[in-house]
Amino acid sequence: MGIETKNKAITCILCPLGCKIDVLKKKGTIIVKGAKCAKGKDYAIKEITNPVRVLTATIRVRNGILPLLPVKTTLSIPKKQVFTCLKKLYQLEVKAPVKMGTVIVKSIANTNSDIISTRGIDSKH
Amino acid sequence: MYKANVVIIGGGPAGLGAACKAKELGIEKVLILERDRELGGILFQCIHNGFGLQYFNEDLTGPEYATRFIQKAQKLGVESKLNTIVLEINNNKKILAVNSSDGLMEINTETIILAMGCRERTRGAINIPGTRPAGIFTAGTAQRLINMENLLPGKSVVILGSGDIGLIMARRLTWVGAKVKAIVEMLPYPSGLTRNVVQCAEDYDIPLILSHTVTNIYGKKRLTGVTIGKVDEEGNIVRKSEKYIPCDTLLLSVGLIPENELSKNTGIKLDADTNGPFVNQYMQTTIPNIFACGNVTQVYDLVDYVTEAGELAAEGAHLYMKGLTNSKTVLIKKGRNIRQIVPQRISLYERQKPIRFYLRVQYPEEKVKVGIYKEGKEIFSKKQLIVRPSEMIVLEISDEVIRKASETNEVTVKINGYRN
Repeated sequence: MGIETKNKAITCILCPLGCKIDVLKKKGTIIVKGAKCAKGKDYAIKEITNPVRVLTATIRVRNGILPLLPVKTTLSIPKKQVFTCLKKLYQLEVKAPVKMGTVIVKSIANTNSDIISTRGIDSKH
Repeated sequence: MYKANVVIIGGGPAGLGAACKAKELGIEKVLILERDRELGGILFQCIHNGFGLQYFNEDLTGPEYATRFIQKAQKLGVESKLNTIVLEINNNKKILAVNSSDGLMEINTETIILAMGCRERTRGAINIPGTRPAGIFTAGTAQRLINMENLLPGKSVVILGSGDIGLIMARRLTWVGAKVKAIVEMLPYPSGLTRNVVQCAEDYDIPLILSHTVTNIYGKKRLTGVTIGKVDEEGNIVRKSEKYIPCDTLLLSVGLIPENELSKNTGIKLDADTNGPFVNQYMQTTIPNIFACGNVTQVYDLVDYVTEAGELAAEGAHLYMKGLTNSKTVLIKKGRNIRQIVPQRISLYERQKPIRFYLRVQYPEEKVKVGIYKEGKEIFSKKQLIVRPSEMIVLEISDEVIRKASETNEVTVKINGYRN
């Protein structure tokens, strides 16, 4: 960390206005330009310090009426962890039947976010 | 011979919304006819989040949103027939349908709710020149293959059209290991919601190339590449602007068309701007016992709006069965910068509840007001800092405005600039 300068152009997604925001991070201070509201300013700061996203994916199902189970993270996870989590998920396989809301992985990649199923899948027979 | 009070054609979010509401209103026999092997419609392949923010005030995925309504419908005693295709609607009350267990069946019903959703435009609809190789998919087909059938359509992808499904598939393809080389949009602005432009394209540095389109397709057995070219303001390709992009897959996200083959044979009036039935605020078509809701009436931005439309259709069917008819109709005319609006007419009932209009503009504008005018005089207006074709505008008008509108036979909705 320490002294770093980071500049980023962000499109705000909080409302249909879609403000174009410039964020400059320099020696621990953050300057936000172009945000028309306080929420937008917070969003921009978050986007430059630690952007987070909800991750949705699928994992393989054995003996199910469908071959894939859709899943999601219960919390938003750091954007930089997305591919690490995806890699872990693609290695998994669950056995049908599965109910919606079942915890498949606890705190994936130490994010404090669980992976849960977002639908039920019956077994084939 | 089956009998029902309400038959709903299509078990997606619109049909489910209508079915649940119909049961809640005390309608006895509510039957959904669904073509697929399960209820829920397209939601089960939309595994991403962003559903239900308005209706449930929660951020749900498509399958979660669908499951909530399927479970509610089961609890309320909604009946359904799956794997069932409706062939015809006769005399506005007899439905001819077929499936492999009942065979050919005729269903007699008091009211019908059309909830067939929409279809994707294909390559044929937009006439892209070139060869006819494998590797060209609509974005929704690719979504189903990847999210439900565990099949990857390709590894090196160009997406034509920046609609929401195209954007979401750009991210999804990246997440399953494919390389998305570009999203190409003919218009000078993106067609999808801003949050999708940011979280699906910008997040993964996928170039979104505006004012461009695919001009040629190459490859014999499998797609080998496409050329893209710049589009001028009149929609013509700029000469010598073409550029070749090698790829093995082309996804098309070039618009959705309401699915109205069945509607057409009933003789209900369709609106050329929405491509859907001409409806009142209870989604009543021009045939009094036939209602329509969801993407069959117009393509909505959000599933939440689709659910609401389904509920309104059920309320309309309920009013119709109680014998409450409307006394007068006010037509809604489209004025400056209005591309489409639903409902297209207001029917006046003795007891009136607020009415919501869902409309889209033709082109983006800033600092405007959306107004309703009666004989040139403003009876309602709402300021908007920005309007875009990709973001539907919702106008809710009160009983008082409806009464003012009812003094005449038509009112006009238009976009005007305002000065501060």
